[in-house]
Amino acid sequence: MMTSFMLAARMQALLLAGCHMALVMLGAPVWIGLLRWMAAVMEGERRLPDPTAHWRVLLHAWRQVGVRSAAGAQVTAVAPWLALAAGMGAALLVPSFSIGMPGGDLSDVLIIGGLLEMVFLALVVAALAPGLARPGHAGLRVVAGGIMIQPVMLLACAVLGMCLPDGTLAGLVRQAHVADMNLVRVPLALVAGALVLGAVGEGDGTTSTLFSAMLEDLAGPDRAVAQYARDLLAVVWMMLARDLIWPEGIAEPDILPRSGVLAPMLVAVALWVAHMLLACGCVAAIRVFVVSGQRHAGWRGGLALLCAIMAGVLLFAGRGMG
Amino acid sequence: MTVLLLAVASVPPACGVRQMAGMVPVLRCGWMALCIMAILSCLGAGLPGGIAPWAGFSGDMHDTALLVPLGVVGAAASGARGLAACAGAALAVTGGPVLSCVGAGWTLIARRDGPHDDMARQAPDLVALLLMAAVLLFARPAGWLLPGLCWLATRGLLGLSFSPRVSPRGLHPFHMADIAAMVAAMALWRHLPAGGMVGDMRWGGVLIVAGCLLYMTASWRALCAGDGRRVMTGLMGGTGALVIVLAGLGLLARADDLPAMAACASRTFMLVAGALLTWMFMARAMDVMEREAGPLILNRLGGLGVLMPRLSALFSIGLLAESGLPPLLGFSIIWMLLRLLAAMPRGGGLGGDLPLLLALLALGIGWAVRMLALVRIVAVMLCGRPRTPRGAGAADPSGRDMAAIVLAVLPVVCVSVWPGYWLGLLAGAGAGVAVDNVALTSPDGAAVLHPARLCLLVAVVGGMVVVVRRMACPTSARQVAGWRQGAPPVPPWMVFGDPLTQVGPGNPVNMLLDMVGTVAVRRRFMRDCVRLRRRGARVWPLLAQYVADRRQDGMTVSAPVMMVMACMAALIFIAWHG
Repeated sequence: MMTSFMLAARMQALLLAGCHMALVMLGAPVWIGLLRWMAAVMEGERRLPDPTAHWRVLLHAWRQVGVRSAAGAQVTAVAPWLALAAGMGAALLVPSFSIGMPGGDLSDVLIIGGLLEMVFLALVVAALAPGLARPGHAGLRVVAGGIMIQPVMLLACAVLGMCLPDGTLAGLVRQAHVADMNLVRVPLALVAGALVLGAVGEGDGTTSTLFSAMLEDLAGPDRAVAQYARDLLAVVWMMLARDLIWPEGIAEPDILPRSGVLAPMLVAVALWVAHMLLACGCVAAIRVFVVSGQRHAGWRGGLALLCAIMAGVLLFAGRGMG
Repeated sequence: MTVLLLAVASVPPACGVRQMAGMVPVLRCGWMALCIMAILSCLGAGLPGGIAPWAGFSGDMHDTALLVPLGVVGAAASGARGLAACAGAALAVTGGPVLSCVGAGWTLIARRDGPHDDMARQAPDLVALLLMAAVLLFARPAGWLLPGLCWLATRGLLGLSFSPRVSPRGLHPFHMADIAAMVAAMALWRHLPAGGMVGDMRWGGVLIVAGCLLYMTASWRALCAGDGRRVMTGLMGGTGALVIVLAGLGLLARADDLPAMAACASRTFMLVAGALLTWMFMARAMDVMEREAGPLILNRLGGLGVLMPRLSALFSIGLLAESGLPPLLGFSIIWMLLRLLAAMPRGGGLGGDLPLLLALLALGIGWAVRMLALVRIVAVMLCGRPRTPRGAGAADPSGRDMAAIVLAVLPVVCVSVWPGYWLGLLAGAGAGVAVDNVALTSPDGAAVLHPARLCLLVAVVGGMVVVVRRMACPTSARQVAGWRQGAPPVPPWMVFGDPLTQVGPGNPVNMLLDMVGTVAVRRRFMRDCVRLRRRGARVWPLLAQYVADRRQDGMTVSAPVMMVMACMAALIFIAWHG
């Protein structure tokens, strides 16, 4: 009896993980397309949204003939796929609509952030490998601009570790279902904002130019995979921020036998879609109205650090008042 | 075991460097035997003859767990300096208070770059070691000074410095002797007896803050160094700074009577000892790289990833383990350190919590700079194209050398995947108990990290991506010569393309500094700093001259000034002692 129950639980976990990965992997280019449309609209452009436009760009790149620079070919052949693998690993650990997936106990922000950092660095290595001037310098500029995510990540983990006993996202969701989160909501929102500010370079003109310069020695499937990995990187950071701000929106699989199977899941999926739309709008607004211009990388890092420190100060001050 | 140790240890000083060359295989076998005996002893196996306590040596095998990584390092060392430093470190690990200090001093002298290295620079460290031994033996009431003395004494061994400058004197090339020096320093910190409660609390806080700052400056030195070995010295200085942070956390936990936190700090300390295996592997790999590609000066290297793909892949594993990214050992250390800092006892209110935030900030910035230094190494050494014909002639080493490198990377991978077993081994838990030790836990036991599961996750997802790639892209992409972005054709004397336009070692530093401020602002700041320093330097001679003049006139310093100074000193003393 116990064995069959365990087996059913594992099957359920695998099913949830499959649905989650399908949702995230298929949705990543859609979110990026919407984010770019929102940023363009905020900058004054008038056009209708086309959610599948970015998918079409990726498919077009995939169908092109595979060509790569002969210099460093062994590295550029592997690095985009390594980035994709690390991004998929991180996406598996960040819950979208439900917890209870395999690897839930590994959903520590430090692990997720580390895997996403690997995605970032693998893409940079793909740009550095041929030894050409433009892609290499663009890669270095990107990595120097995004490196401040690490202190932000450490501070975020410390804040999260003080809010929660186990410090994982699954633990946060479980606690959100049984306890009042209002005391820690503002610090967690600041942490989420710091992570998005420090890590997501999407929607910014300078970063997009640098990224296209990074990949100019690749064509065909490798280029498509690198572009997709970058989209996945931005989407997983946004999902992480969304989970930190609205953990109540994620369903727990334990409640399934009591209230049906599909309805809570569909509600959770709908909430995830709405929250991701909101997250895309927030990121676009930050890019257009808050940190823009040529020296945006330094501002991004500084502002992200400030937000993370403020989160800690607010958490400690709240505890002191309490 | 001690007899064997002394036999192994006494060989390097007993014979000269020339005679040492023939004895290296014998010595390495001796270190291997020592390592096996240390492992057996940690596993609880009885050695023939048992443990015979000698005067001046530590009889407890738990104190000598550091012999395991030291034995591995000794077995991998190939030079006379490395072996002599290992012998000194072994004395520091197994010895009592006096012999530990003697061994540490021996290691300090043995790891000098050569006769040209100024002995006067090591004099403060040696004096601190002497004072430490004296306090340990004769002056127990001055025990509250011990952490400070230990900090001064291990400063040279751990490669600690607050200076961000990269000078040939301050940042020596990385060799196997540096790892032995770190073992000796760790042994000194591990043998440190408890001082008073208040003194330990004060020193704990000071050491944590100092360790975070030292980590930051060491990472900066690694980022600015122009030589591969000096970059590694800077990175290893970061590991040394973590030893200081952990020592501070241990002191704090002991003073506040938090046994769980003290145990967690001790386990993290042993994880850092595991990280020394990574350094051992890096030292071996750099030896082979230097043999194949010439001196590891970053301006002359490039494209090693293509020229020696197998060695570069293994080297990348070492870099990943040092970077602190999942799933290897560096990540486990960062995870444990973060949990320890979060569990640190803090004063009430915002004022008590702010130091933690600032320490985390310094640590995080240090980590970011360290990552940039590693990216720089990858960008300049492994990626790109060779910059000199000497570098272009590099190739993967032959089978025997490659086997030695693979053998050196195996312990790193094993400790990374199962750090719990490593900790169980060093704690002397025995073979049976080690099985329960697969996960790393936070001081309160609530947060758990399973590195093996993390590695499994990465392997499963990586395997899936490999399968998808094989199915979706059956034919490999066409390789074409790189476009030169409209640059003129390469001149005939520059046979390796455009070495000056590809990413160079100075670029990351400049990009980081450009984020902080423009060139004009930075120059103005530097000019102000130099001016301030000159003015400051001018104050002391003026003061000395003033005092001398007053004495010549037969006048003394006024009594109220003396009283105020004495009161200030007394207040500082009382505040320190609580």
